[in-house]
Amino acid sequence: MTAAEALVDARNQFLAAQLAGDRRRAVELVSALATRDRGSLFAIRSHVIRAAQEEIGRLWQENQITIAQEHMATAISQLALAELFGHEQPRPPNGRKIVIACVEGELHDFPARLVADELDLAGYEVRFLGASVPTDHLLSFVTANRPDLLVLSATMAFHADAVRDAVRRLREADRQSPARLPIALGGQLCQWVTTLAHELDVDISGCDAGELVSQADALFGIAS
Amino acid sequence: MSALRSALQAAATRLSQQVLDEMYENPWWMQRYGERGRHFADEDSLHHISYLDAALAANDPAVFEKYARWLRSVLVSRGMCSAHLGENFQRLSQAIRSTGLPDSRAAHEILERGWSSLRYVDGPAALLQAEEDPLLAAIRDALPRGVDVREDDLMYLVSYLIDGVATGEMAHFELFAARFPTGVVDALRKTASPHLPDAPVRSHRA
Repeated sequence: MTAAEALVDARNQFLAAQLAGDRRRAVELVSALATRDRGSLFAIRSHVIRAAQEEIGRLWQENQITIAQEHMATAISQLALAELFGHEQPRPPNGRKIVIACVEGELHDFPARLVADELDLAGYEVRFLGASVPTDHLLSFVTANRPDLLVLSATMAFHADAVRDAVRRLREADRQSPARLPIALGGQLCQWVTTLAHELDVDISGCDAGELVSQADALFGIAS
Repeated sequence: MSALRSALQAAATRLSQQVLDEMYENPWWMQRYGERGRHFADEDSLHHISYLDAALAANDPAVFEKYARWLRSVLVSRGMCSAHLGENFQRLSQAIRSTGLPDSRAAHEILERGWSSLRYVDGPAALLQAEEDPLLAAIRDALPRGVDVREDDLMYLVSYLIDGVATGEMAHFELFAARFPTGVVDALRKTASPHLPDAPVRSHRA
């Protein structure tokens, strides 16, 4: 079995555990993969957990599973990501701090968590705020923590206004700061509203966690 | 925010209800999905307006086109047909016009792009869709004298067939076709036969 075939096989096993609601089996699978090859953590996250999650989305779309099953599967993916996090051996700290938050109203935090974990692995000091962060509190947190980059994540197109509102208010707050805060836009919203990153003149944008990490590295002049 | 967007958001619930009340004049909706279905229909109809608003905000009809195609895949797998969705968009456009929302031309254009995007662009489904008029003519001709059938139901029947060909899943077509005299469905199949796949089409999910 090639490495690619092994990942597909692992994805299928993980997916089966998700559909069966077998949390322990899913975690054991991820743990065994990570223990066997510590260099494969990115591949496990991307080609096993994320790939299985995408398949879960497709199954819901085609009415083969219910919303309840989709939520159960997503909760298992979150648990697996937490397990994988315990196996991480991040790069040495690069001295840059990044805050990641889903905009107000956005409940899909799985993509943002993938980005948070990848950034952490890449050596960034990450503050992950999770789903639907009220804009008022996001501004307060950013002011208090002064990150080097803020990643705003959104999935649904109708949350574009929440992104617009957050960016506008962050830019207003910039006027009282010594330096302009770089902002990244992530999540599937980038695919739904392809013009949004340009409209808001954000510094980085992308749907893919690896892509966002590469862009962050480039922004800060960090060798990937 | 534009005057249109503000007015659209303020009128969203009323517009959505108006559209669905009109569609539910066809008794099939309540027979097929019941009150629970109406609840989901209410949610979906408000989502249409949310995505219309998102497209207006971005000044980009492609936002709504992507939504329409994505939603079609969700709804067709749950027993609706493309014509149902297209009709909802068209009725929403009419409701916006009759309500007199300000500067509404952009909304009409986006909604029109939405239902246009539901046309299949390739494969047997696209070929079949190009024959919609002859298909409708064939089933009208085959209707026994004295049998009264709603015009929208005829369009839905054809749409179910086209969606079935596109997805390879004919159970929803067959379920809807059971409402019609056998001769009507036979006439439809016969007229459509040049564009139907040679292999038996899957039919395993109701």
